[in-house]
Amino acid sequence: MSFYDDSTLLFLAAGAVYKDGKINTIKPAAPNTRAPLLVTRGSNLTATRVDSNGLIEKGRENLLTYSNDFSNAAWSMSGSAPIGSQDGYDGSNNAWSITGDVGDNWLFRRNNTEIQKSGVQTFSIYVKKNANHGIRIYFFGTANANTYFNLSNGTIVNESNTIDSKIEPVGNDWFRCSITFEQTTTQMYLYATNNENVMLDNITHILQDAQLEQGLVATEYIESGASTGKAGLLENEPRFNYPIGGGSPHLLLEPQRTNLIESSEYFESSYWGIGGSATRQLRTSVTAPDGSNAVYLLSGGGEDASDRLQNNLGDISANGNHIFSVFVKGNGVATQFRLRNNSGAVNHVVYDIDSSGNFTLNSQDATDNYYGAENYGNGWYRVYLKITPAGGDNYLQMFPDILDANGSVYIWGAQAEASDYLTSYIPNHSGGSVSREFDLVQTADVSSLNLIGQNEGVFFLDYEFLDGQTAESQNWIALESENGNERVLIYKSSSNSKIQVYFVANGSLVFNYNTNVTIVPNTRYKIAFKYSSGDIAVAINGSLIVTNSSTYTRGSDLSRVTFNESYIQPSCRVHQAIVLTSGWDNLDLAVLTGFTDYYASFSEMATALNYTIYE
Amino acid sequence: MSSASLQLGGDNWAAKDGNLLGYQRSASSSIHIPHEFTFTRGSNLAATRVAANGLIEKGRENLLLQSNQFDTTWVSVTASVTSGQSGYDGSNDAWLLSKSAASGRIYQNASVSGVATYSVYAKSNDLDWLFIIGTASSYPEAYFNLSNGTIGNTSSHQNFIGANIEDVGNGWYRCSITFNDSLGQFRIYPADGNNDFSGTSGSIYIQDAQLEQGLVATDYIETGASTVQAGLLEDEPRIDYTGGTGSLLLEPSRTNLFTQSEYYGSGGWSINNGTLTTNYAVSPEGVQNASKINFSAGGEMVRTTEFTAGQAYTFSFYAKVESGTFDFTYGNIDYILISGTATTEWQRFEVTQTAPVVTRYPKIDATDTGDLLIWGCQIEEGSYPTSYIPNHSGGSVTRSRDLADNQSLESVLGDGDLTILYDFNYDVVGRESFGQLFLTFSGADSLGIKGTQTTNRSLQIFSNGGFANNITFNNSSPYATSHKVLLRITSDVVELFYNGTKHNDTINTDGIVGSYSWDRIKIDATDAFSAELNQILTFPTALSDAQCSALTVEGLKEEILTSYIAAVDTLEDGAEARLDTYLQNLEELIV
Repeated sequence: MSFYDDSTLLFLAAGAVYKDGKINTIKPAAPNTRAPLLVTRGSNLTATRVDSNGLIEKGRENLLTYSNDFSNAAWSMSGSAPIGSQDGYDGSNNAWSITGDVGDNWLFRRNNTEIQKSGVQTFSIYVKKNANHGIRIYFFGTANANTYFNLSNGTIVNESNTIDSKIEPVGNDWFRCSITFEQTTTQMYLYATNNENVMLDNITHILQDAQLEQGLVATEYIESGASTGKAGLLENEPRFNYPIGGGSPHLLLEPQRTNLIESSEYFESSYWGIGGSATRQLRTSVTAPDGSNAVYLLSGGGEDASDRLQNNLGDISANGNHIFSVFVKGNGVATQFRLRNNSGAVNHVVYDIDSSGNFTLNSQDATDNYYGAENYGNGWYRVYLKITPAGGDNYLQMFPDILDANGSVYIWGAQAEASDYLTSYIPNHSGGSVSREFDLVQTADVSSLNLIGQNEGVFFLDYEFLDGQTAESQNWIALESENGNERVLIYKSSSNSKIQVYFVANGSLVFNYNTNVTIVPNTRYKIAFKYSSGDIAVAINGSLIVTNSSTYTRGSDLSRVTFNESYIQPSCRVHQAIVLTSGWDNLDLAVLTGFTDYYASFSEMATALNYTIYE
Repeated sequence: MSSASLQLGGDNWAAKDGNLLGYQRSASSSIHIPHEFTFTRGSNLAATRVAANGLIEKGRENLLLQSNQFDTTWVSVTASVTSGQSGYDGSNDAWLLSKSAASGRIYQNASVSGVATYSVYAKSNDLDWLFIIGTASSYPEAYFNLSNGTIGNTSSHQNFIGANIEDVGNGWYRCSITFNDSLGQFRIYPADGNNDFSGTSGSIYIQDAQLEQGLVATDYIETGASTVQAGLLEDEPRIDYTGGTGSLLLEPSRTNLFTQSEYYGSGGWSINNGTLTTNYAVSPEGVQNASKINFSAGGEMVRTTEFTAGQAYTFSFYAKVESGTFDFTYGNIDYILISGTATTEWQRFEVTQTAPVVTRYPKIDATDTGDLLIWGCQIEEGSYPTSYIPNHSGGSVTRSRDLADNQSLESVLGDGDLTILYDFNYDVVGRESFGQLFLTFSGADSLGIKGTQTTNRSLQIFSNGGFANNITFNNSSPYATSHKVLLRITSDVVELFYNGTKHNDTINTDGIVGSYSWDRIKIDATDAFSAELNQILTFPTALSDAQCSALTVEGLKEEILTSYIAAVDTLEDGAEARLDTYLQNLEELIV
C-alpha cells in the first residue's frame, strides 16, 4: 500500500509548486495529464500570508508604468530626451541621464492617472551621488508633500507634509531616495537643487528605477512596463501559509473579509484620534511583522490611564459581530495594554506585557470569549477580540497603559472586520475600506483524464478549521461532477459542528452521515471517504468511523475537486488532498488518515507482543 | 471483498501463556493490528498437544528454587560452594562444591509427590563421586562415578524407580534419580567413593539442579525465587499439529483417572505373565520414558478402577513394537475386549465403554507373546477420547476446558450487519456433545454453534441460548470432519452457509435479530464438542451469497482435492491443475 503510488491526483501543501492562479498537483505529474488546482481570489493585493521566514508577506505593486523607461511618454521631461544605458546602481547599464532644460529646474514630472493616487504612499527613486547637485521630490495634491535630498552627503535637507523621507546609500555612489506621504496626488515633479534648498536649472542627474507604492516604506523595486508591476503575494496566488513556529506550509483558504480601518499602519492618519494625552511616533528602527521598518510607538501621557489611540468605525452594528485586532510589541518597559470597543457591551481584552515583552492575559470581556494574543515572533503578538457593536459610533481603541499611563507599546497592522473569527491581516492604506476576496480553489473538469475513480475510489482530505467558525455549515470540500448529480461532500455540519459526509450518485442521496467527530479549531483532520457500491466507509484521524453498504449507479462522471462547493466560502487550512481510483481496504483507509498503532506483518506483531508463532 | 475485520488462526497462529493472538489485517497485508484473546485452561500442567515435530508436548516445571544459585536457598552443611566455574554448557555458571567434614553437603527443602525425577549436572574434581538423595519417606538415593560415568549403589526401596547418568561431554554428567514417593528435601554430596562420603575434604563441580514430575530428567529449566515452568504452560493455547497442520485444540474438561499414567510398576497396575522395564524406549513425547512389557502366554496388564456405574468412559493408551506386529485386545470396562494390533509406529488405541458396575478392570490382554511398548494410559469419563493428560500423582489429574475470550471487539465487529465464518475440524462420529462452543455476542445476546445430544449427528446453531437451526449430516450435507460454518446476520435475518451451501431453512433467531452491538467472541469448550479450530473470520457487513459460498466451499474443494490425490499413487502431469479447474467449476455450480 502506498498512497503515493495509488493516488491519481495528489495535492500536498508541504511540497506544492505554484504560480499566480495555479497550483501544480504532485500527481498527475505528466505534462499531458496535469490537473492543477486553479486559484482565484480577486483583483487586488489585499491578501497576506506568513512566509517561510515567519514574516507577513503582502502583495506589492509599483503603481507607475514604465518605471525605468524615462524615454516613454508617461514621463514628461523638461529638457532634452533622456539618455539611457548609463551605469546603474545594480551593476547594469539601465540608468538614465536626465538633464533639466535651460530655464527649468525640474527634470521630469508625471501627472497621469498612475501618479494620481490616494492614501498612504511611498515614492522612491535611485539617484547617483552628486557632489554639487541634489534633488527635490514634490508630490502636489491635498497635502503637497515634498522633500529636498542632498546627494553629496546623503542627507535630508528639508521636508514638509510628509510622513517620512529617506535617503539610503545603496553602494557604488548611489542613493535610494524616498518620500512617504498621505494625500490624493495630482502630479509629481523631480527637481534639481544645489544640494540645499535652492533649485537649479539645466542640471543633469543619473537616475534609475522609480517606484510608487502603497504603504509607509519603499520596498524592493518592481520593474513595470505598459502595465504596473506586481510582486510578493499576487492577486490569485495560492497562499501557502507557514506556521509561526516553523514547519510545513498549508494552503490557507479564507472567506471574503473587509478591513474597515482606513489606514491600518499609518497611525498618524487623520482617521486615528488621540484620547487623553497619548502620543504616537513613527519608529523606523523597529522591524514590523512584515519585515519592514515602519512601526509606531504608542505611549501613554503619564497622567490619564485612558490615554489611547482610537479609530471611529461609525455604526457597524448592522453587520453583527466584529473582530478587532492589532499587532503589538513591548518596548522594554512593563505595561498593561488594552484593546476594546467603546460602545454597547464595551468588549475588551487586557494584556500585561512585562519588560521582556511577554504577554499575559489580565482580563477580557470578549463576545463569546473569543480573544487572544497570537505570537508572530520577534516580540510581536496579534492581539484580538470579538466585539458586538452597538448602534451609533463604535471606536476601536488601543490603550498603551491602563495601569498608570506611563507605558508604551509598538503597534502595527490594525484591523476591524465584520466576522466571528480572526482572519489574516488585510493591509489598508487607502483611506477607505479594503476587501480581500475569498480563496476559490478547484481543478478544471478533468473527467477526460481518468484521474477520478467513478465506480470506486477514495477522496482524502487533510485540513484544519480556522478558529471561531460558528455552527453554520462550512468548508464544503467536494469531489463532484459538472452537473452536480455526483457528489462527495465533506463539510462541517450546521447542526452540531461535527464533520459531515454527504454522498450523492445520479442525483440521489446515497449516504449522509454526521460523524461523531466534533471539530476543534486549529486541529488537523485527516478524512478519507471510500465509495464503492455496497462498500462505503469513512475514516477520520486513524479511526474507521462508519461503514455502509448502500449501493448506487452513476449517472455521470465525477470530474473535479473543489474546495468551494457551496456558496459558503471556505475557511480552513488544507494540508493534503488525494484522489485514489480504487476503494481501499478499510484498515488501509484508517492508516491513510493517521492510524499508526499497527505492525507490518503477523510475525512482527507476534514477536513484539512476546507471542510464540506456530507455523 | 474487503479483508476480514478479525482473523483468528488461518495461516497465522500465535500464542503465549494466557493469550491467543487474533488480528486484523488490511487487504494490502502490510498492516496488522492485534486483537488479543485471553486464554484460560486452569492452574496445572495437565494439558498436552502434538507439537509441530509430531511429538506430544507437556508442561514441565522445575520444582526447585535457585536451581543454579547454590549459595541461595540451598543450605550448606560442612560444605561450601564457589561460583564462576566452567560449566558443561560452555558457560562459567558451574559451582565448586567442597566439603570440610564427613557428610559435607548442600540441600534444599522442596516438596514433591508421585513419580518424579531429581537431577543435577556434575563433574569430578579431586573427588570422583557424586551422591544425591531425596528425603524422607523411602530416601531414594544413588551414587554416581564421575570418572567413568557409571552408577554405583542405589536405593533398593520399592519406591525407587531408577537412576540414570548421561555423559554430556567435557567430563560432565547429568545424574538423576527417579522415584515414586512423597519427599521434602533434596541433597547433593561430594562423595569419596561408592557408598562413601566419610572423607573430610574434597570437591566436585555441580550445575543446574532440577526436580520435576515424571520418569525422566527433561531439558533443564532455570529457576530463581520461584519455580519455573516450560513447555506447554497452564493457560497456553494449544496449537495442535495432529494431522500435520496447526489448529487450535479446544477440549472440554477431562480427568485422567489412572494414577501413574506412565509408570506401571505400582499404583494399582498389575502385570500378569509379563515383565516390566520402565524407561525402556523413546515415547511419543520424544524422551526415554516408554515402558516395555515382555508378555508371555496369558499376559495381561490390568488396572483396578472405580467408575460411576452407567457412565461412558474412554480408555486409551499408546503402543508400538520394535519390530513386526503385536496383537492384543483391550477394554473390559463393560467386559468387552476389542482387538488391536501394534506396529512399529506409535498408535493411540481408544475404546469407549459404559461401566456396568462401580469396580471394573480395564486391561490390555496380550494375544501374542513378546515385547510391547506402552506409554500414556488414560481413562476419562466421556464418550470420546481427548488429548493425553499426564498423571504422575497418586490421584486423578484434571485438565480444565479451553476458553478463549475477547470482550473488546466493537471496533472490528461493528454494530450492524455481520458475517462470521467458523472453520474447524470436528469428528462427528461418536463425539457429540450439546454445549455451546463458538459464541458471538451482541450485548448479552449470543449467537453461535453448539453440538447436539449423543447420537444426533448434527451441529446446532443457537441464538440467545435457544435452538436456531442445525446442520444435519445427511445426503445434502454429507458427513465431514472439516466444517466451514458461516453465519450472515442482518437486521432482518440470520442465514447459514455450510461447506459451500446456503441453507434455505428459516433460522429461528429467538429475538436476537434487530439492532446490534457486537463486541465479543468467546470460544468456550465447557460441555461442548471437541474441535480443532482452523480459523475464525469476521466481516462487519453482510457478504453476498457468492462470497459466503466461496468462503465456505474452499475447504471442501481442498478437502476433495487432498483426499483424491492421497488416494492415488501417482498423478499424471497437469492432473492436479485440471482437477482444480474442475472443482472450481463445481464450486461455481454450487454457488
